[in-house]
Amino acid sequence: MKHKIFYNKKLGLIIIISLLMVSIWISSLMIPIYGGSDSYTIEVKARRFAYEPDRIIVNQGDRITFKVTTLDITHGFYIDGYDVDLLVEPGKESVVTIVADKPGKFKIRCSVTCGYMHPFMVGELVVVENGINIVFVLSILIALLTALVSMYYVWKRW
Amino acid sequence: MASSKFREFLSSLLTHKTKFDVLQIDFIRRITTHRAFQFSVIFPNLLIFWIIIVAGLFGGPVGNRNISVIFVWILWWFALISILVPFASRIWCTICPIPFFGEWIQRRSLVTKKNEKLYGLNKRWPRRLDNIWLQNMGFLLIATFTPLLVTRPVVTGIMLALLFVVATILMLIYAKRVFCRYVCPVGGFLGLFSMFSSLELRVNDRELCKKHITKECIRGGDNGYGCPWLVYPGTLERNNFCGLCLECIKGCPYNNISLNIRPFGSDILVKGERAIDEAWKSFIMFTLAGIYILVMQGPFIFFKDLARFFWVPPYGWGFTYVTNYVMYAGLVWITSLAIVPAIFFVFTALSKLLSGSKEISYKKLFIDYSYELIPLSLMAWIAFSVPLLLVNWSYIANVISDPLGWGWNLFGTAEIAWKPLFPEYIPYIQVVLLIIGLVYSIKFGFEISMENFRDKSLALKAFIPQLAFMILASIFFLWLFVG
Ligand SMILES: [Cu+2]
Repeated sequence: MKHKIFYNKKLGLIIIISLLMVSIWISSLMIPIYGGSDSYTIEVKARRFAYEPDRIIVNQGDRITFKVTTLDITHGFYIDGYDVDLLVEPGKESVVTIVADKPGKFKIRCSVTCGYMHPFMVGELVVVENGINIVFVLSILIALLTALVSMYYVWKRW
Repeated sequence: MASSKFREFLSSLLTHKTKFDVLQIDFIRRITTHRAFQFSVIFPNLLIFWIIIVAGLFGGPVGNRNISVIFVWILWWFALISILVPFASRIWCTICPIPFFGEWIQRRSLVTKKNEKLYGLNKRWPRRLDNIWLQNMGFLLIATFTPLLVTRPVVTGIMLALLFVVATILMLIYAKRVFCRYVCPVGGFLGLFSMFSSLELRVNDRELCKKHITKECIRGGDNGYGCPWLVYPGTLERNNFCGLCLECIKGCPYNNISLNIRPFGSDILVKGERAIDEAWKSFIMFTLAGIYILVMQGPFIFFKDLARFFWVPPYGWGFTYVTNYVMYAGLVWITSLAIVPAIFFVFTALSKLLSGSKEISYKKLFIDYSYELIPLSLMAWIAFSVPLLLVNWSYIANVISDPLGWGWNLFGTAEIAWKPLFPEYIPYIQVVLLIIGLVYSIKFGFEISMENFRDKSLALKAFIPQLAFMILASIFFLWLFVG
């Protein structure tokens, strides 16, 4: 048979176990962490079709107040997973405060149709712990581990 | 009888121990061998395309409020890359209406099998163009204008209308479906990624075909036309150029054609037809997955401003919108045609050095190994497409009620508010997809290595740089998703 790895039950098992591990890990990340961290304000300027700053990196647990204004027309300010959806109108300042309790990368999206490239108007909120993006680091580790294990099995099967 | 077939089918899905021919299921055989089958799937699709083109040309200008952009670039694209190609090969080509008029004129018949002599000039396709370079270039051209295409309905409408015109003209000049096989910009990557698909059309018994003189599958028979894709099923080993029109199933007097469910990626190890044009297709798709995710789904102001066609940046670098867009086009073309292939070549040269082999040429290794990227690349594209649907599903509901963006509300869904579906989990879905791609790429990469070096430890040494390339590329994608 040509496609040995595919028929390999052990490999299937390993894939299932690693998927399980990933899902347990994800659910553990979604449990919020509260408690003693910095409070500060970040000023965000929305314009067609980007946010400035385009990548906002904060520490997990920080209490952040976003003050969002627009440089041109009406935009939105929606943060994935943080239940934030602001309307940002010209000449006004929209304010929201969140506690960055979940780690990882969360897209900031424009929620008001603002022109041609509106669906691509995206920013990023990256929640790190002591400067380390654990979601990224763990993803790399899992990828490396999976690569190693599949390498081992391909090697064994020949 | 039927239930045992079905059980066999289920167990084949679970174990992948055997291939399973879905034509063994009576119902499927009866449908697919019916002459009206293809017409009845193409015709409704033709009507949808007609609505999409009309909406594109005459509807409102805002992309996410017009059915053309939403249906083509969100719904169609997602279904194509995430479901149809991985699970059903080129089944899109079965229902694609673009060659409808050309084929109708050629055959002068919509349903019934008539004379095999096709109408039109019936020229042969030039040998120099008997490759997928036209499709490579066509896809890059479309990629260059993607920021316009996916945001401006009129551009999408014009492109689709143009595809109909070009297809029909080419089919009047050349015999059969040369447009689909050599020109259609979608066809190139459908061919490449269908190698990974879990469905294939093959013959059961090759010996039978060898001895069979009349060969209805290429010459045409009582109930089926000769293959419009210029493919001879008798020796078919790869999905790349089989458009699943199913004419050969209808034509074969021995019922020797099967439509198999099979393990993913089987065609990647077929050596016979590997070629440099496909290697480049592999690089183009791999690179563009990265560029698209970076530019469209990333936050970076610099890239977003590059991709804006009609815009003069305020940061005073002396750019006009022309130079701006030229830089974007340059990014697309140079990275995918030169930079990524060059980096891959360096890794392949390392493979050759580490193996110490003198017999195998750089070129052969370079071409062979390029196929290992197909699973990773396909999974990266699926990862790119998942958020398109999860974030923008409400637009689909909106445009169904208001297809032209003129303020209609046909089904009461025009005002459904934009609300992404569990967007905080999208990055994790993307990570999982990418890792699945990496596993398959490693599996096929090592087998390609084995096939070249025979000796297990040589193959491993040679594969180490390939593994490094794939892991580095994966880390880049992981960075895009969660970094
Ligand atoms: Cu906006």
